[in-house]
Amino acid sequence: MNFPWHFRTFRGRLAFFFLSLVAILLAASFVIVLQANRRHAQRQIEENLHGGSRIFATLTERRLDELNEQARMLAYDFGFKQAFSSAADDRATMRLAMQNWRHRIKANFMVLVSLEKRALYDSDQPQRDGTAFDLPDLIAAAENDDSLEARGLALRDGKLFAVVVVPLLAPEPIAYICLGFRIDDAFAVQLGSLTHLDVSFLNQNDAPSAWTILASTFDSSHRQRLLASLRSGRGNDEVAIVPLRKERFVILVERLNLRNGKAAVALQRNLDVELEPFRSLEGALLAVGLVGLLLSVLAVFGIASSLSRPILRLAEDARRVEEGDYTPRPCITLDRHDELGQLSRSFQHMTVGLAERDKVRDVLGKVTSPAIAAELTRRKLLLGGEEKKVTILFSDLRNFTPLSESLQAGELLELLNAYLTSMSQIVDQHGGVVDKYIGDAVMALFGVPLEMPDQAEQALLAALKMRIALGDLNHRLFQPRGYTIGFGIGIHTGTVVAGNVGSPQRYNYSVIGDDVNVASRLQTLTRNVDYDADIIVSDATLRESTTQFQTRMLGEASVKGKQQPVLIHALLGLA
Amino acid sequence: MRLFKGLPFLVAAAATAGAGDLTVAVSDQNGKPVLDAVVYALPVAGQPPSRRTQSEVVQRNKQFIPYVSAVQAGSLVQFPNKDTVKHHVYSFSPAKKFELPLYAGTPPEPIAFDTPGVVTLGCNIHDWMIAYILVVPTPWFRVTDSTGAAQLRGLPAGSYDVEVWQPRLKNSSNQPRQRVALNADVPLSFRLDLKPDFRLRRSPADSTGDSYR
Repeated sequence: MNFPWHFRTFRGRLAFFFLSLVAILLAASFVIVLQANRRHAQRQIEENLHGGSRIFATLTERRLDELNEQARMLAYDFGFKQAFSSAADDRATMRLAMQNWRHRIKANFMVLVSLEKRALYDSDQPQRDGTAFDLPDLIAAAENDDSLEARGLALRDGKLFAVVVVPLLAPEPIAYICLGFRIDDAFAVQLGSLTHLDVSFLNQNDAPSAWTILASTFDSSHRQRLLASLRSGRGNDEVAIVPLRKERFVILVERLNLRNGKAAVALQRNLDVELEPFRSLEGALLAVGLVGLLLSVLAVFGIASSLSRPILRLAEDARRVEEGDYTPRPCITLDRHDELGQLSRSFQHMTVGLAERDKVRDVLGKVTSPAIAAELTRRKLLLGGEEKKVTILFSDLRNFTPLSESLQAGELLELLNAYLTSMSQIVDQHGGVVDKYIGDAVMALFGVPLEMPDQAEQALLAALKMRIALGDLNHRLFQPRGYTIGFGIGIHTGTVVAGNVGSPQRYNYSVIGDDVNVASRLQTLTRNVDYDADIIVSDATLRESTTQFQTRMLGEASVKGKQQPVLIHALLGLA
Repeated sequence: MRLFKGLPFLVAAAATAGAGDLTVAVSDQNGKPVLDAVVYALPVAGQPPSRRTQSEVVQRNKQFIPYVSAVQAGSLVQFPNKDTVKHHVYSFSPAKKFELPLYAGTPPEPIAFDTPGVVTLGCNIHDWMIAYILVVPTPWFRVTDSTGAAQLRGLPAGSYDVEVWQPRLKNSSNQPRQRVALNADVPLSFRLDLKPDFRLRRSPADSTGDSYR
């Protein structure tokens, strides 16, 4: 998987992956719920507004019905007819009577209009008497009505009224009674309490932006805001969201069917109030989401830990095994039945197997050279060999036979082992391998099985060190017993065949070839007292070495198995 | 309608020579015969004779009968109540304002109609009750029947202005009038421009059969 970031730990990656997933899911559901809520609230408000508009229409209609009934009652009042028929003589009485009737039915104005649409008596504005009535359309509507009645909303002196017109019958129509009821703040408040909306009645003058408020449930500052937003062209017969101060309102503006002038009713609903329940729902959702996220964090880290802790433990165990520590350790996941349990069990079996193999290799290293043992275990175990350049060192003890005759076998073996151990260690230290022990003789190889560029000088250095070691052994072990032993070493470098020699069931890693015999022969030459040398080295080996050694040329010696005589030197020490 | 206010009433009957009849047919703007139209003839020259009469507008079954009647100025009209309930007859018309507060039977005195003009009658108890009395300054008048016809009889020879009035007349200030020289039986016809009939609906408790009156 490709991650934008690299996680050092599996736990981190797991946590990141799952938490991202959970966070994305939560965020997506939150956004979806949020949007659905908003849409729902908006729709609900719009429905409320349209419902409010219908209630307004119904309420207005009912109010007009009521007024109409009251006006009709007045129109049939005999006293009123009497007063009217005698009013020509007493206008003051007529006006007072009209004011009285107006108060009786709580109308705001009352005008008696002649059949010719002239204002005969205006209850509170005598200056209008005799002038053309200012709502002629209303009278015309009454004339065309079966019951000679009309009703509607109308503006008068910049105020909005519900107006009804009924005929004054005596018993045929002799005049029209026009009654007006103010649509004021109280009416707006009544409508607002019925619809749970804010209600404003507006007048739109000739200028398209010249709105004024006729009545409203709003206070003065809200009114100014409403007007400002209306003048900026918002809210024309459609639902719009209008910010008023810090609150947001959804507003529906509907034209009023007016007898004169232009007016509208604006219904507002506070969006923030409407959204309040949704807000708390969103808050709850957010809280649930955060708690879910927190629980996910804990769960993910728990799961990750339960995975990574045994894995870390296994890694630690593996590191110990790598270091060669096969001590069985109680594994906590061993009892688990999942993949980790399987892994733990496999790991334990593997450790046991490795311990077995290591033991075998250890034994092998003891019976053969560790390097050969490693080579044997590393390579495919096959018979056969390959040509290799190798430096061969043969050493053999002198004066050992008399020692073996006079000492107990156990003590003899002890001394021999001390000697062989010492020699073998030196060979090892110089990168050589002990090919075999032949009694008290040691055959050591430099350059197999591993390539060794400095094989010659390592062999020579080993020989010098063996000489010192022998002196030390004499001093510690042999001289206290009354003996001094010596040795002879032959060193030669040449090409041999190296490989596994033997039968498929049992074989040795060894080298064969003429040059092996040459090395062995050089060792035997050390017995020649004429040479007076304990270490004889072939010229081939000396040439091979890059380090200068102190030598004495011994001349040529004919060697069995070599046509040409071999030029030999006595190795004295380091140059 | 022409007003004859201040015109002195003639008591003496003018001698008539070669009296004649006038047959008038009244129809509406759709050509249908018009019922309850008052047709009356005013002599172009001279004064018509004064013939004071006494007539009746009866209240029966909470209706005025007749719906339209005409009287010569100076006549008396009695308003007998034939119903078991009381009535309160009134008029606020300028030609004759009067009131007969709640009464049963026949009022002790008839009402005198001295001024020509339309008198609209109502009842304060029964809003739908309505009737008209047209007061005219001439003894030659007649209300049309359902065929829209009215016949004025016994008119002295001469020229007359024949006028027609009906409660539903659209333009009451411009009453239809025809001048006619009466020498033979001349049929006259009038076409009136009428408004739709406006009548109040009777209250359901009182409706017996007809829902309108």
